[in-house]
Amino acid sequence: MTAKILVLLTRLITGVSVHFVNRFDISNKQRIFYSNHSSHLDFLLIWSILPDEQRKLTRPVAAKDYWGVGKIKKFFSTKILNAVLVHRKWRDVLGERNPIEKLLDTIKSGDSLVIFPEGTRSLDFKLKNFKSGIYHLAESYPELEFVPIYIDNLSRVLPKGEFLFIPILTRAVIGEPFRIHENETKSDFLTRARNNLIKLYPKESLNV
Amino acid sequence: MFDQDTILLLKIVLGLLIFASLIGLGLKKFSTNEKLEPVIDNLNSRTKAWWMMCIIFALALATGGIGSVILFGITSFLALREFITITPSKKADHKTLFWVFFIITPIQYYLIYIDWYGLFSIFIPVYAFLYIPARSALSGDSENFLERTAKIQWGLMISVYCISHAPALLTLKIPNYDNPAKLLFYLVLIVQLSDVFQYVFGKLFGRHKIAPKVSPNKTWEGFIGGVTSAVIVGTFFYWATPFSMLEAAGMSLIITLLGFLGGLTMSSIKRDQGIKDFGTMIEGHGGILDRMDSICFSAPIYFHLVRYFYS
Repeated sequence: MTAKILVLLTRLITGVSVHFVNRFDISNKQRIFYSNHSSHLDFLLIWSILPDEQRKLTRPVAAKDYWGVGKIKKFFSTKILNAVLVHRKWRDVLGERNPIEKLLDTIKSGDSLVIFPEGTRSLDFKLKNFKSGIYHLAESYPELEFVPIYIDNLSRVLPKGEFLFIPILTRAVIGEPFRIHENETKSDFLTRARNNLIKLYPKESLNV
Repeated sequence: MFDQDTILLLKIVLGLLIFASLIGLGLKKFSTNEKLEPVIDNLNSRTKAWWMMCIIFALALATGGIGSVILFGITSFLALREFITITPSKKADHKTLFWVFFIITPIQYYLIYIDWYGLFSIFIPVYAFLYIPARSALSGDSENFLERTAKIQWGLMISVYCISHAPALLTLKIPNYDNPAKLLFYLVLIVQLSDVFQYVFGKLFGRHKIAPKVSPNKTWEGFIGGVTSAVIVGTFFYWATPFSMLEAAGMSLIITLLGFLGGLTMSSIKRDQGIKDFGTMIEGHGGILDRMDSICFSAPIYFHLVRYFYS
């Protein structure tokens, strides 16, 4: 119920329109969705455009050092969004597990993930280099499909550092699913994943 | 709320819509000319939009003033959203834009609802226009300041201030004229008819372009044919207005000319931003501003003319 309302609200506020580069059935298979990160609403937006069945098994990956701090943020991220919280500086925290292990466990249980491989929200509209986590997931599960999603204009709805949103129209461009190649190196895979996302950038972005 | 004239108007429009839908259906089914297909599709989607407009309109009229204030308030909000989406804004404008969407726009429509003419006619051009640059300046980013401010002001002017004069027609008190909702009906009818006549005449006879760089579809033939037919219709609908027959002709001429200029101006804005429709970039969402461009320019002038000469 909460999820339904949240989805409706997100769609209403962002007026998101969804475009497939090549339409495929996105509804049920376990997949890793990854996207550019410019706003706190990124995950909500991706969540809201997924079909119900897929949404039920899709969990965001969020930074524990941000979303796990404070009662409200923690409640929202864990109880409502069912996020997998990972610590960006896990080595410095006693008893904190390796994020990759946590993610692999989640994949093992059959859930889909939404990840932001840039690691943090980018302020300019350039896509940062990817952190290596996405590669480790692909390496451990070579059959796993990765789906790039480009989110356009959302940083204007809720920019970093603001807490009031404005109802600017956004869009999401969904690319084609792909897998890791046999013997693909870490840097090759990361470059390919990043390029597959950059390919989705429209010629004229709404982010003028 | 519905007097005899209003009911007659509604019946006529309903008849026209049924007629247009049937013709559209027939053309779609029997036309074999491929070149005409986009024209037929365009007309059919216009007809569909008019059905929606007509239904919402009737509902708004049935609920009296508040209905049309809410209806046009939402229209303004969505139009502003389209305008701001295609207009570059910076992070420093964020709080300003929040004010524009959630505080200034509702206040403008509230002022119309409570019929405070003295304030609603200057609220945006004076108070909002001074507030907007001040709020953006407070954010401390002066890059492209004039441009950013002007764009927000323009968006507010076109989408909110201008459009809000349409429901404001309902607040006019005209001696011996019962239901000012008919004034609004008249405005929308003439503007829409002029739009579609210009389109049809342009498609049929269009040769000489008026401003090819701004709007390649606007031709002198379409313009003259469209305006003339809309003025003829407007003249014969004089019974629905407080105007005499001659005055109705003059009024519909002014409405159609302003509508034309509105369309041309909005085309320039779109061209400048490198898009074709306010709707095309955002599938299934846009287009409100594309439909409202002629109303934007005609509504405020029509309002003031009627107010000055008849109320």
